[in-house]
Amino acid sequence: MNRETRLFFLFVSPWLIGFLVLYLLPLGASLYLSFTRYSILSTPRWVGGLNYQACLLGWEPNFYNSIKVTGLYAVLAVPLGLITALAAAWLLNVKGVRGMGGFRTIFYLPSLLPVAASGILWTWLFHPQYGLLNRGLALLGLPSRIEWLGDSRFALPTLVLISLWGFGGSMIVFLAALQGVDRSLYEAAELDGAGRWDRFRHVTIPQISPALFFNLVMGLIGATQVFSIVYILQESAVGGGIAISLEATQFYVLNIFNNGFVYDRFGLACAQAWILFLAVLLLTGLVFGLGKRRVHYER
Amino acid sequence: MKMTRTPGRNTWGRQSGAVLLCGGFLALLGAVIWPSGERGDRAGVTVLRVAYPEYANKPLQQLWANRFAEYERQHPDVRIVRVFADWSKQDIMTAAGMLPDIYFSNSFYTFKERLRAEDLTPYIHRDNAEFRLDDWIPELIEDCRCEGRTLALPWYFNIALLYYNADLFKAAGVPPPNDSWTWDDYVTVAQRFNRFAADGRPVQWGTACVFGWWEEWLTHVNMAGGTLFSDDWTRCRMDTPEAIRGMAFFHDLVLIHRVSPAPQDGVLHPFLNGKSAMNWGGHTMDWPFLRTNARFEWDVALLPAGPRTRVGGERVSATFCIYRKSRHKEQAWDLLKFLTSYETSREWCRVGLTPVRRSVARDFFLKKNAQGVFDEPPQHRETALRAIQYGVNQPQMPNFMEVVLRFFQPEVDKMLRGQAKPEEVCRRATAKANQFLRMMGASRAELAKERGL
Repeated sequence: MNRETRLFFLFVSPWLIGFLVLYLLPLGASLYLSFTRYSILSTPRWVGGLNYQACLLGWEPNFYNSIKVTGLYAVLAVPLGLITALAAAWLLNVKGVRGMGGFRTIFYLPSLLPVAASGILWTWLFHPQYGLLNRGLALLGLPSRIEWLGDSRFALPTLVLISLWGFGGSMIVFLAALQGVDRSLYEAAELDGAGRWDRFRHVTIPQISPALFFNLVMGLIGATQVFSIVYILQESAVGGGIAISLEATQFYVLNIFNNGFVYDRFGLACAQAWILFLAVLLLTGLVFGLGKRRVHYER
Repeated sequence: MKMTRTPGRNTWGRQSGAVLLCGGFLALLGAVIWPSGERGDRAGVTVLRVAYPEYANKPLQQLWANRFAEYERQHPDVRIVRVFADWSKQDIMTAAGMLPDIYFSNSFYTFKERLRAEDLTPYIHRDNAEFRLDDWIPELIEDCRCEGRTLALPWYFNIALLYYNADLFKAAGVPPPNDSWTWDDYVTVAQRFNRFAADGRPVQWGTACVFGWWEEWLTHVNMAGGTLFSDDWTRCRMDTPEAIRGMAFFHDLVLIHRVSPAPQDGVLHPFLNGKSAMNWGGHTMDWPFLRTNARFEWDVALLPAGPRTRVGGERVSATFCIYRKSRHKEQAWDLLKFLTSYETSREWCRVGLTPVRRSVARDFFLKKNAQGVFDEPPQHRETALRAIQYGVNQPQMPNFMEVVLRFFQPEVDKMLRGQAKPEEVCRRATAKANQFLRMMGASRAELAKERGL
């Protein structure tokens, strides 16, 4: 090993040590623990594939339900989130409007709010008796005793609604992409007789497709990892005496957390984390495969 | 002029940069993982790390600070470092071997503590003259014992009681609940307090049930003679006629007799807001909160007896344990004695908590107008002490939470919405729980062999 190589390793060693100690080691440990019965306080005991069996054969009663809830959420929340973020970015990209910087800040602000604060806020907005939403519906003469979180039919759509609140991050990416679209392409399309919709579909969409693809991948990964907001909603609802459907809000990662930290089944939780990892890997690979034909990168 | 590189100086600079960078990183890593106790010990002072519960109760917080300061004043060679560690963090700290010397727990988790808590039995026997084991309420000490070892010491307890709005009872001319009450008396009296608006909407209820967790429905099951698990912990036994009867009583209170608001009614704290005449269960920890916020006179009574027994309400003590890998066990024991001493227990009482020592109960808790503290409700404070004998410390096994929360609670929630009958709930959830226990559970005998890290 020459001096240059030694120096190289010396310089990258903080990152290298961090990667080995904080990522690779826990990764390997979690793989090993997924084959054990482990309560975090006791020594792990090898049980072979029992934890994976428990998941796949449905002995763990929330496994398939949590996949269903998470999948449904992804199907609803990701496209809706993309449409909302794109629509907001579109509006904020209009030229010549005074105070546009202020508008952009206002639209982005909810993304900066801590999840804990917004979670508690939403719990009370959706309160069946005292919530602002039901009060508003009552004023309009509409049915106003809706249990937004307690009724299993409404709980998931309510969470999708809540997720739209944090579209700021995607919006910024879309806004940057929209600002990068070459104006001459619109002019050329206009000369060819393209209307607004045609310009949007045939110019804007292809031009911002890398941003769209990026937001789609991030949205999908984010949807499979929903935890904080549901955890806080469940805790604050139960603590505040508000009914919440545990079944309809049993997300996959929340189930992993419960298995590990509430039921002391870290082996089972690790197995579920590995199943999630493989599923996300597969899903991302699939999206990338489809993206190759649909996403237009500038060469 | 052409610039020339000086390879030697440049390499030296890069090497020093790399060394500094690595050194800084390792120092940072060391500072994080090196227990603060050891750093303090080097300065000739024993550092005791204590994890205690951070309740949103200002007088209690102040009391913690005062007691720690008092101990440090009496022991200049000890410094107490307060560590914020909730339940999950304590578990992670245990796995890392970094749990504080003294940490909080509760008697609900005594079985879990057997893997990480120091056995206090030898310390108690050695220092009994000072410790006075006979001064403690025996059931509360028993709840802290597992496999013949005392693993924790309580500092206050919670016990399920029947709370009632004395003003409403007085106004209605109804005698308050008493020790002879059964479930039937409870329902009959509760029905007398139901009030409806002109449009048929309920505006006042006879009682308020506990939703979202096992506190109340499991109490009914116990009082009807049912049990959650078989004695060897290998099977769930909630499909017996007794258990179903207990669950049915809970169902009927809400949906047949309609003496309690249902969860879907979304009524906030019905008892506190004066909208229910009674309230099932409740934590004695809530007394300070009720004293501050209730705009009426309230009191407590024993839970009404079920068809089989009165025993079954939840009894849980807040406890402290000593970490078995602590490097300062003797000092930790000394501090623990201080935190559970007569003097400190009296202070806990003063901020509204229940006593764990008989002497504190006698000299302070049961005395009216004791330094102005107990002019406040409940008037029948001795009921909390009498209720201890009817309370149960829930099954001390790892599958308890899993079975009640994972299998039963979603079914109970459906039942309270009228989507399932009590019998269906018990049979369906029991079948699922048993399948799970058969594949993933462990018997009492197997768990006894489990060893801590």
